[in-house]
Amino acid sequence: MTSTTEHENAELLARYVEGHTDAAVSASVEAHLLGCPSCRAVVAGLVGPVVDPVWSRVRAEIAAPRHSVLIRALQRCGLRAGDAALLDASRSLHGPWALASFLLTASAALASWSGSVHGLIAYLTIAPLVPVLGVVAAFALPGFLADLTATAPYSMLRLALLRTVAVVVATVPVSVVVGAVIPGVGLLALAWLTPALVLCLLALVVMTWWPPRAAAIGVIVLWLTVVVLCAGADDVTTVLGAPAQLVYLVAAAAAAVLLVARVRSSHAPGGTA
Amino acid sequence: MNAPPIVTTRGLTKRYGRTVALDAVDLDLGLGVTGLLGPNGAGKSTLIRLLTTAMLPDAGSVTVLGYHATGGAEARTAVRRALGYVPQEVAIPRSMTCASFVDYVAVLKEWTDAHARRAEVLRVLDLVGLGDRTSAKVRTLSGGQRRRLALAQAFLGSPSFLVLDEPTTGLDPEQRGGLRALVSQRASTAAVLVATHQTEDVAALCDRVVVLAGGRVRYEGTVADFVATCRDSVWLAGTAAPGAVQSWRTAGGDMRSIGGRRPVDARSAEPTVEDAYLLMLGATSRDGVVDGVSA
Repeated sequence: MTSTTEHENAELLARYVEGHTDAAVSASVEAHLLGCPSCRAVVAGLVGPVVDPVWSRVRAEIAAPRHSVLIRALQRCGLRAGDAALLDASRSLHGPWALASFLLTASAALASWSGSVHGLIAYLTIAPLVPVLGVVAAFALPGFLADLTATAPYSMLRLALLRTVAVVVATVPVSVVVGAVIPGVGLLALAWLTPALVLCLLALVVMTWWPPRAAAIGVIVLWLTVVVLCAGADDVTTVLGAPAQLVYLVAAAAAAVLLVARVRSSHAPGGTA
Repeated sequence: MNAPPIVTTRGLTKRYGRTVALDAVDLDLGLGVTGLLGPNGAGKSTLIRLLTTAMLPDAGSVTVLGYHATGGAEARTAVRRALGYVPQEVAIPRSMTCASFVDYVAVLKEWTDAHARRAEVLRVLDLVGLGDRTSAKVRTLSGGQRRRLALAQAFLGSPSFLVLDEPTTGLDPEQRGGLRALVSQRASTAAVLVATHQTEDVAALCDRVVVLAGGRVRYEGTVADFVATCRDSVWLAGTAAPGAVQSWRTAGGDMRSIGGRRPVDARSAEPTVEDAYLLMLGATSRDGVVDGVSA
């Protein structure tokens, strides 16, 4: 008789835990539980499997890293959660690069504000190189968890390109805004974006042969040569004039094609196979 | 070893210019903890870089769970999926939280589903006892907690091959004990390689030991057999043993000697892993090669 009662009790308690008892029965079960340690133990055993998964989901939600405003905005535009986590981790890059680009561009812009041709040359020379240095740094990054990244199954090329995006996003707007608000620069603050694009793509192409530092030096030397040639031949602003812009666009397209071809033949930039 | 090994190297060789860092190393690692001992410059770091696919060898092969780490990109990726690695120095950005750091590595380890990834991140953080510090910034953690955090990422996905490079350096005895407990728990499901300078770690934690010197394997076998190699070469006496590899005055006033000829008034001393290691290194540097001890 006792065993039948216990069995019925267990069944009732199980229905109570699952929420399948009406208010009157629930109230009587609860009244009984207050005075019966053994039934409380039974309920405790039944509650675990129901509550534990809920609790661990709640904990996981609480522990989930909060992304920055920028990353969350990108996520709303379709950035995948995994990529968001990688970009957010590269955030430590943003500060130094934003600062570097600010200082570089500001000094160049201030020099050009003083009205001298030399100042303008300095601005035109430095501004397009800022994003290039960022791109190269994204591949060169020596310290940032390199040991873990190099031994993870995730494609290092994909990671480096993601970081490149992060760096460019962090540097270009600052350089443009700083250039635009300084008198004497005006539209030139936008005109250097095309040569910057060419130089970035060229740096990526060169990095399929050379290490990042050598690629950076090569690209810098190339750009300085172009600026010096234009400055020597004519008005320095021809380096960003309409005909030059056309040349840059064609060069960018050619560099992009070459880059795709190199990557397809498994020559990733920075040796990041 | 009864079960087939999880990790196998054959003829593993790496040169830097004309220096041979690793010379035809053959190893088999099965379930359990294997200690990797060797002086600085012995080739330990090179071996670890080759085993963790961070570098390719000049000759020879590394096989993990049947996949060739030295083969194509796909096989190398398969090896990386089976690998958990704790580098010697993990410079975790100080502004990251525990959860965001492990989450970052989990993404690199292809945990693409966000819910599964979060659950796994919590699981490994619970495992190392950081489950209540998920939102704590790395800069607020103690040295021992940072080590455990570095260990947590290696446990993601319960890998079959764990490589720990100097995991206990700079830890106090209690933290070291806690770390040993964590590592030994993995030994039943993974081949664990612990590179270390701490011979006590090998004695306390490892089933087997590999001694590397001059880029070659000088010893491979069980820890007990390794200690036995110096059973009749460790003495306590009033004077140092003539020709000893190492001898020093102990707290009791006796000279403890390893190697050399038995002093007249010698009492036998219980040998340790450190004794065996010092004796082997001494013999290696004197003769170039140790005969008859390589397993």
